[in-house]
Amino acid sequence: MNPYATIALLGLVAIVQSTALSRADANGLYLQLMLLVVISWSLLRGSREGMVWGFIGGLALDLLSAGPVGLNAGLLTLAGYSAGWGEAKVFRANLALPAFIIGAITLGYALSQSMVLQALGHPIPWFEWFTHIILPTLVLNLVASPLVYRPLRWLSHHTGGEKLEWR
Amino acid sequence: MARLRSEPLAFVLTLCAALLLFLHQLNVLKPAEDFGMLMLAPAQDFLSAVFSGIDRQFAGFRDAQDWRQRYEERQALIDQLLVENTRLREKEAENATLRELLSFKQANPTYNFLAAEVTGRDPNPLLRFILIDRGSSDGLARAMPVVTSRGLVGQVIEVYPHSAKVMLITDLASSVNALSQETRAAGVIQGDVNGGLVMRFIAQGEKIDKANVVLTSGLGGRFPKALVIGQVQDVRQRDVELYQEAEIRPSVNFNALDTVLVITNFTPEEK
Repeated sequence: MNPYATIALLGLVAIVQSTALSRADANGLYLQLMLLVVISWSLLRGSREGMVWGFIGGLALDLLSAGPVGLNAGLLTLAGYSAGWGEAKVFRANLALPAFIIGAITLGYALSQSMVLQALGHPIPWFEWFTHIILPTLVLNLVASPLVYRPLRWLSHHTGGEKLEWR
Repeated sequence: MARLRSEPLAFVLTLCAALLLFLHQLNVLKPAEDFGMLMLAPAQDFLSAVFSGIDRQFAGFRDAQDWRQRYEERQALIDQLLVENTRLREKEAENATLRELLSFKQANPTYNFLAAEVTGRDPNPLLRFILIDRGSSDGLARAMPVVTSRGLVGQVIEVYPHSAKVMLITDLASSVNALSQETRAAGVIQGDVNGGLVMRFIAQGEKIDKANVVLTSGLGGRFPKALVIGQVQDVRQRDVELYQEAEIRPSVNFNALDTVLVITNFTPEEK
């Protein structure tokens, strides 16, 4: 896929996450759209593209966030890598496993993000944070993942085997 | 683009992210972040306006079933407010006379306000921040307090040329010195995980009751005095603990913030 279109698409996803989805939140809980986009793309196209999408999407989120620049870029790169590994190793073998991959990556992403923020001095009440935000977000991500995956599968199909390369 | 195997690419990109994290902490990335914000802010402004419109349209449908009940509640409220208004007019006349007498003794701080539109929220649910469409070119600076007509919203923590980030008082890292208007019991307002407010460190001997109005105390000099924060919803008092805690219902609806006012002539005391 054209890298400029990729940047525009991921910039749009970041803006939608920080405007429309944050308006729809309930008690600070909202869909982690960028994470689902990165995981889905990685499942569709493999680690390499997943990581690049994670890095670009993460940077866009970092710019819109009050957190440190690089936090989302790093974690979403790792999310893209992990999901791509899942695609290569297990995704095709068992239909229940995508749910496991999304769940595991959502947990890993949220916990790593919290640990980095705590290391930088942000207070984290772990028990409440885990029960009130992380677990409901996990469920929300699992429920919404097909809605994100299907349009991306269409996009992947229509961009064919076109690799992410600068021209 | 040269093809790299996945593992080296993962390593390189993670290293880049860690480097960015490090440079951000050193504040070296500020010009690049300013540039990035300059690129993203107009699109965010536009989409925010679009979603705000859609939100308003759908709100009408969602609320349809509650209209009748709300109408009756509002009618009761109007009656109550009419009585309250008459009483307040009397008080106001009385106050005007008293104020004239006291005016030479008491400073009556007046603030300059700058209106700003909320263009976005932090995409990380751990961080409760909003992005506004005013920045250093409009005269904004770090640490300026942000309010609405209903009360205190937060504080500017980062300023870009045409936008700024505001930490809401519901953020877990926020703390505001406060007191009860009725009993003068003092404490510290902090955010909780659910987006609410908790007043902590209220001394055991202090009296604080449900429905007390909580205001900024001005202690510490970070916020002006007497800005409304909310109302006490519940008080948790245990003899075995050093302090009491009160659950506060914020006066501002943080989920429906569209326009805020930045107080531009209040200089917070540096710590």
